[in-house]
Amino acid sequence: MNLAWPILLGEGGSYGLNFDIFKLNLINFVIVLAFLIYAGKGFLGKVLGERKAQIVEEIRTAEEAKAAAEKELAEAKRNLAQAQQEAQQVLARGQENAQQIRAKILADTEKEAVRLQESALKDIDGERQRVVNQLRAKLVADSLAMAEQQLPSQLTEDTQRRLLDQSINLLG
Amino acid sequence: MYHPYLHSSPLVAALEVGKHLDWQLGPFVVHGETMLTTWMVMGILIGGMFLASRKLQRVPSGGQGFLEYAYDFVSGIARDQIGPKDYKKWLPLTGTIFLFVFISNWLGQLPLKLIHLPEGEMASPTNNINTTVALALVVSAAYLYAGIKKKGLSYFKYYVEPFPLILPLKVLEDFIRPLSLSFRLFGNILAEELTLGVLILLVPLFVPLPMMLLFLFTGAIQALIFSTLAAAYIGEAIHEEHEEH
Repeated sequence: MNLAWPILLGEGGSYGLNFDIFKLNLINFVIVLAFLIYAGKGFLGKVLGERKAQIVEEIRTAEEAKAAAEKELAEAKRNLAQAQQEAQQVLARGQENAQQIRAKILADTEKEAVRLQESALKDIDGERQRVVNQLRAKLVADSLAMAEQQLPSQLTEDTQRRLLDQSINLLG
Repeated sequence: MYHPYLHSSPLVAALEVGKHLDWQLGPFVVHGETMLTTWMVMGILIGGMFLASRKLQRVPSGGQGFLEYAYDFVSGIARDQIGPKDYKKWLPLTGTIFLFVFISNWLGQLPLKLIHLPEGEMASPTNNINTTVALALVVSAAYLYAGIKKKGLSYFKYYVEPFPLILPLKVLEDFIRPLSLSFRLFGNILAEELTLGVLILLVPLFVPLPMMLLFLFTGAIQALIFSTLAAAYIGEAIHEEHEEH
């Protein structure tokens, strides 16, 4: 523009305005313009109006979908919270049960241990008693056998008499 | 070429053809009247976009609604021709071409002769071959760039497909495309304006009306053709035909 301006002014100065209506074709232009505005307003107004209505409708649909989705989200969140609560309850109940079972098993086991100990002691006692009895019987048998063995050699007439005397004295 | 027989003083109007307002911009001689109208078109587009997109609303109305409608229209052209995958990258180019050509073609219908120039007279920028050649060369550069960027050097395989003998035709096509693009637009718009000029010269009132309406229609059609072809060339250049074989 800076380059063009001086040339623009310098070229004889016949720039200007031209108001010759016929040369401007002004009358025809105004008619065409009026027709365009008249026809275009109707057409464009209809097209743009339809487009606007469609957009409004689409926005409305989208907003409804959004609201529905939000509602569903809230519902799902509520369900989730409920489920979590239930899970907590189940967990607590399970832990409680486990505790109870644990205590019961512990008690049972202790009782069983005591019983086993007792029965073991009883077994041991019985066995000792049996062994003692056996030993006792064997001792008696051995003593008798030894006595029977030694008796004939030691039982002389004197001895027999002294024993008899003794026994009589004892009775006496 | 100046036609003196169309320019005689007793008539109410006169017609000048092929006269340009030459401006010297550095080493270049430019056509001032085309420059002025091109700036007007750019001003209309930029100003219109600015005004209409200043307060964006969720539910569009007024200018924003109209612009969104126009965007839907040009993006429909680009998507149809380039394909849904790549069209967004080229939409700014083809959409701008459509809007520029459209506004340019319609601008010629305004009473631009209100501003009197020392030489030549203001008309559509697209009735100057320089404008349309520039647009067409931009399109040529765009589709070559698109193809090479998408496929690398294997883009040039397209020139020997389906058989190598076709190579001269394909090379020729690259030259014919900008030629046909620019001459179609230039020829149509210049012819429109000349026809209207002659008609106005002969019968100043009412008779040119149907022609003016027709030329509004053809101006829009030319813009549609130009941007559709530009998008089609880009779409063809980036089309992956190797995948289908």
